[in-house]
Amino acid sequence: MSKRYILGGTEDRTFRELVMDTVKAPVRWLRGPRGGAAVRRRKDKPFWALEDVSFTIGQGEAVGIIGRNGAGKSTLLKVLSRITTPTRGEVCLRGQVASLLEVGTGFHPELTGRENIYLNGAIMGMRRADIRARFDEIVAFSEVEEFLDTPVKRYSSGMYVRLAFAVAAHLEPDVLVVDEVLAVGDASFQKKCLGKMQNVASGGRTVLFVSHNMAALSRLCSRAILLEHGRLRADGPVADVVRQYMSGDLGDSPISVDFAQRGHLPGDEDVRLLAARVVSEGMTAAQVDIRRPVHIEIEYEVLRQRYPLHPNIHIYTDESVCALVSSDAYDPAARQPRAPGRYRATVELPGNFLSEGLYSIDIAISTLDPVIVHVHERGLLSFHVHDPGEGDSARGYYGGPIPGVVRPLLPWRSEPLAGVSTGAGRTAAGPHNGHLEEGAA
Amino acid sequence: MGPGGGYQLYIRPQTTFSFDDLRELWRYRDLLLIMSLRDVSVRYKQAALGVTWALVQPLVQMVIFTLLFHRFAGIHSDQAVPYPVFCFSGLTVWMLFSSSLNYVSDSLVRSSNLITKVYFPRLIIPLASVLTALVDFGLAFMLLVPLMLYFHVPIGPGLVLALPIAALGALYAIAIGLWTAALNVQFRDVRHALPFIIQLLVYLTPVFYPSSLIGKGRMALLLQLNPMAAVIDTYRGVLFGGPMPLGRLAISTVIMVFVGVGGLLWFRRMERTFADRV
Repeated sequence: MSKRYILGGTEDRTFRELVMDTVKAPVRWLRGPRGGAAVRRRKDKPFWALEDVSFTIGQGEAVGIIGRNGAGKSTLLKVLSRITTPTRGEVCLRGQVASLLEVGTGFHPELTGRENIYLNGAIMGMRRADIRARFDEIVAFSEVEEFLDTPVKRYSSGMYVRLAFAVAAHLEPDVLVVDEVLAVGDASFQKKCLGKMQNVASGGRTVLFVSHNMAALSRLCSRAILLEHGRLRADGPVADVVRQYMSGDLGDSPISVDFAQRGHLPGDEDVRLLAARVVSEGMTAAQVDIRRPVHIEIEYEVLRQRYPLHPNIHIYTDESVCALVSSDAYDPAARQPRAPGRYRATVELPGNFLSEGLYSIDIAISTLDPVIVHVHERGLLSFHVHDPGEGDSARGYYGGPIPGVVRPLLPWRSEPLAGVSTGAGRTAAGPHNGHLEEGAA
Repeated sequence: MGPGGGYQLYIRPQTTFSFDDLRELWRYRDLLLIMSLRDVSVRYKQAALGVTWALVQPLVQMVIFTLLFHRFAGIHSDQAVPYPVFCFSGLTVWMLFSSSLNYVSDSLVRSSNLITKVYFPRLIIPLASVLTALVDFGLAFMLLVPLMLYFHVPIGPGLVLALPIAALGALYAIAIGLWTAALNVQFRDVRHALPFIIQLLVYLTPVFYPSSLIGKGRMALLLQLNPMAAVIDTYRGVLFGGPMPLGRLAISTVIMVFVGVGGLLWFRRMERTFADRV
């Protein structure tokens, strides 16, 4: 099965352009086939989000889908949940499919929790009678009993997510498709959701689960599928596929480069770059826990003892924002030219430092006075920082997106000011007082 | 026997309309109801004046039209009723048609978050958006009764018989709306153009003037091409005991059935790309 998107080009044509194209069509035709083809080729940029992906999943299997952002996971889920159709090939589904691609799809902010349970359930394909039969169960699971008749726009994000997952969890489809929903909500609720999904899977129903949380995925699934650039890269027992993903390279930029093997050493007559790698917890790693330090190792060979050589790194986010540049120029010992020979420089990025996301690293070796760039390899390495959401990182128990390039764990302190009575002040905020505060922002 | 009682489905690049679609629509009938009620409930919850809006709009228009076209331009009712009642009755049906068409056309774009995140028969979305217009019509229609009493217009069984005729207006709006809703996903121009076109159409429809005013020239032909003209004329005939152009109504209904079936096929064809385009 394949899925193609056309970037730019005809998909976004406005009505005016359609009219103009239609009017111009005879002119283009008169100019001959070459003219017309050239116009078309310039406009359409096909992009295969999925290419020849093929697999079979049996009844009762719990399968995890892994891949980095843009690998085609979401597109695959969209095709499987019938939101979009494949460009080529076909999917055969046996049984009812329910998909949870986003928590709270179809929730209307103006409607109360109660109304939204019915609306959301119906959108997911439940009959009204089914919803009524499971209503109490859904409410109990969501833990929002007292606010059932409050519009959900006044809910905290935690309550919102709990209610939404509760509805989805009580669907009884033959196939359940779940996207990264566990990225939201607090840790204890995430555990509850996982438990519920485990029940679904062990109850003989099929579960397809996308997550960056490898621990959760390994616990829930027995099998995993690894996608990369829209292609099926691996399909097998979950432990094997997760290991392959964690240690494997991240597309174009690997986590470890050995130039000696490549047969070409970048550099000049003073210094050559031998190898570079991302190391976490003693192993080369593509996936780095946000709480743990990451080491970047640079191996180089000094050919001539002439300049002081400073290995340095430039780290970019996946939006090409430069997060930092770092070298050992602060160290007086590094300001002396080194004797010819092989060296390994290691820099430690502390834990709780870079935000979650994908980073790409330039490796360079420079002389600073005068400025000579001996080596500069752009986007040589990349690694992914992820937060397993166990509550002890800077995100605490908040599950939503957090902007910022860095996410340090900064010390916070609150103390009562004189004249403020301690105690019930906060809890007095009720449904009539704007948002229901529940901790989560 | 497999899960789901042997329920099996193929997701393929090309899809055409089949009877399975109707079966699925039926399976999701509760969603149609719940979504319709949601739209109505949200509309009346958000507006402070709620119900009043549905009444104020046709009333104000009636007053303006009465001043403008009756007093100044000298247009008269051709039914045995005073001009304000004549005008208001036309406005109720016209607004049912125009707001249905507006809601239906905009429905897919407004529900883009649903379309990109969850599957259900997409046809539910335009269909569900009509109920709000029907409720508004119901309210305005209820105002017609005191208005008729005030102007000493006799009230008869025509009041009930007129309702299915008015409902035709909503059905016409759906038939046309299937085209415009799907077009709107691809070309957002529709969103801006359509309300404007509808506003102009009111002049081509016997809302504030009687069809008989046009006579039998080329203009009359144009009027007859307008399916809403037949609906409004018949509706008034039934309400006030005047002539009922049933022949014209039948022709326009046949045309609208074709438009609707075509719209259904077109909608179905475009449906598979909604999520990618919207």
